[in-house]
Amino acid sequence: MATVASLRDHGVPTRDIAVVVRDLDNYEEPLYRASVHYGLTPVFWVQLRVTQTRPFALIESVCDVLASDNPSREVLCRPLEHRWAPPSATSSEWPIDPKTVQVSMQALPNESRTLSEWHDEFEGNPEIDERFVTYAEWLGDCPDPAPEAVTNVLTDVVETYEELGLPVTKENDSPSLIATERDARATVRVKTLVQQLRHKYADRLDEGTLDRSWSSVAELSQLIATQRPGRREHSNARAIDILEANDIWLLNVPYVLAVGLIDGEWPQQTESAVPPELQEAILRGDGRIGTLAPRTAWTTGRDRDQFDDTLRAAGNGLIVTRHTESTSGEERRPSPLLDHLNTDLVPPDERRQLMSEERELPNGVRAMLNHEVTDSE
Amino acid sequence: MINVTIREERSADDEILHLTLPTLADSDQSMERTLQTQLPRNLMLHVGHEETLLERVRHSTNRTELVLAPVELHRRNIQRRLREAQLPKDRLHFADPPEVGRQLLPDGQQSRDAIDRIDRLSMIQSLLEENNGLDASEPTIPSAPQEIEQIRTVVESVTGFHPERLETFHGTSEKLPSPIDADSTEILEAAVTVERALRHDTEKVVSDVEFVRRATQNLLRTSGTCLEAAFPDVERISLVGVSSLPAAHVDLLHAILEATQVPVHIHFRRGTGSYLSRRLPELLDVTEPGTVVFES
Repeated sequence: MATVASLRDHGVPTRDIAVVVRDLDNYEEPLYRASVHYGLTPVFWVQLRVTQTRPFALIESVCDVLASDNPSREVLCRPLEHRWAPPSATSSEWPIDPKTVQVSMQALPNESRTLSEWHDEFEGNPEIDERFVTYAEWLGDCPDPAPEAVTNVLTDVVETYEELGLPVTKENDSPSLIATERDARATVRVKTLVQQLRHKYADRLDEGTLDRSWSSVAELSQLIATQRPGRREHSNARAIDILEANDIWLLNVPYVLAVGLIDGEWPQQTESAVPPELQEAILRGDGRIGTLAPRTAWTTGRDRDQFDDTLRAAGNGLIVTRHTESTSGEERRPSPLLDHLNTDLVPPDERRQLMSEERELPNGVRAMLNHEVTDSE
Repeated sequence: MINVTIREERSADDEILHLTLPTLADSDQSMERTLQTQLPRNLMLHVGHEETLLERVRHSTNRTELVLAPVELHRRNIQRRLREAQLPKDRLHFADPPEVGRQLLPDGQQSRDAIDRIDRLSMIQSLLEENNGLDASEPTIPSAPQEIEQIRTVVESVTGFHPERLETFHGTSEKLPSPIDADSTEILEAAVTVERALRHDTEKVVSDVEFVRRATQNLLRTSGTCLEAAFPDVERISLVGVSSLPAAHVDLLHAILEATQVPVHIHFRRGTGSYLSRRLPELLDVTEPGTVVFES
């Protein structure tokens, strides 16, 4: 990311730079931290992890409270921490600010009780914010978890969040509004999820594979959110694109940084239940076996496809990076894909210069910029 | 480590062509010519040279190309390139194979729902509990629904549950040395058993791939009129950005080529493209594409 920042210092427009990795799962966090460190705004072209967002946590925590006969004070207060508000609320009063939630919660007895006992506690205890009573009444009024009712309750919850919870995120956000955007996308996704939930939950009840309970609803929401391959999403045109190599096909970006060219990581052999001997026979396709469709996932072919796409996407220059040691200190070997590339190695001292305060662009990368100038003359 | 490469000419591009599968010889021009004579006249293969896709848009008339892009982001990439080249965007109509499949079904079937992976996993779980023909005590057959579903999708991708291909799969498995022969046969049988049980247990369509297979059959049954009806303005069909060719996709293209006059283009990528091109003539060498061993 130092290179990206430095390219920006040299006047390269953001949209002319792309960072590519084979698999973002392990790279999203470190690249995000590095981006923040260098003052860059990254956009990850990946599926949103809905389960790690606030609107999802909100509906899940509501299900948890309703599922429990005797919720503890922590379980009880979690929806409020996630900015629950009653459907008819106005923004001047709701959501309850986190500090008030904490103070009131600490004033509650540390034990498990039924919802109506909690309701009485809220009413009787002068240290508890009075809005807690509204919350307890709403919980008491929630219907039995029939599919239709579940959808209505959760739709109300997420729509109210959109109206009152989302503005709080925006207020607390940095000027780039990344968190707001993420939160807004998550809200849309959770709304869709609630709709899917209705059908799936009804089907499961008919089949008898789930029982009618709020904990079943919570369980099914988790399943839908984590297993359904959602749309890949992206947002902001002024941010640095960070994408997976499978997605860069056909793009034409002047400066491409390919990250993680490590043997065993890119390319990576995938596990298969099919015995290797059978895989080989199908891949070879002798005689009639030729009518069987070979799986290129059994070879490193797809990784080579993606590496080639990455290479081709780079209009002016490609910068490839790799780590030489794992976090536990094991040696990491370079990817064999690099053997086929004619690259210049950035010398260690130039690399140190790049990472230093001065953020000096290595000569090799600088040559790319000059190359472009020569081209246009 | 940081390495840098500067794009001076296209030399680096050519090099990647040599990165083919280790067991197979590299392609050359004469081979490509031979290949083209083995293929249906209306089928055009491209390995790389994605610009030809944009070129077709540049030279297109007012009719459209139906672009099947299995990777969703590839559609946006194409649109971005069209925008950068200031080419019209309405000449391409994007869809993925199941969407197209659904539109090619007979009237009355188009609105049918398919079950998804989550549904299948839960049904497989019940099958395991009932021990309904699925014997998880066999060492090759996993006991986790996810792994069983994976076996089903692999066998589906390789055979499409097409009778001839399943027979070939079986024959191939039996010729492998022991005990791999038995393991391979068990995998095949488990996949077919699961698929059959899923079909039996649901009123809905068993998977998205099934739409593609049914469309394939309907294309042949209607002699291609369902394509004309669903996509009257389409003058060309392309499958783009693919790294693999599941049997169902091959069979769909097969049926289009057999039942219609619409030209078909496949855009492979360079790592797998020459290999897949070479395999294509044989992949098309099946009778009645889209049929399955199961009763409908």
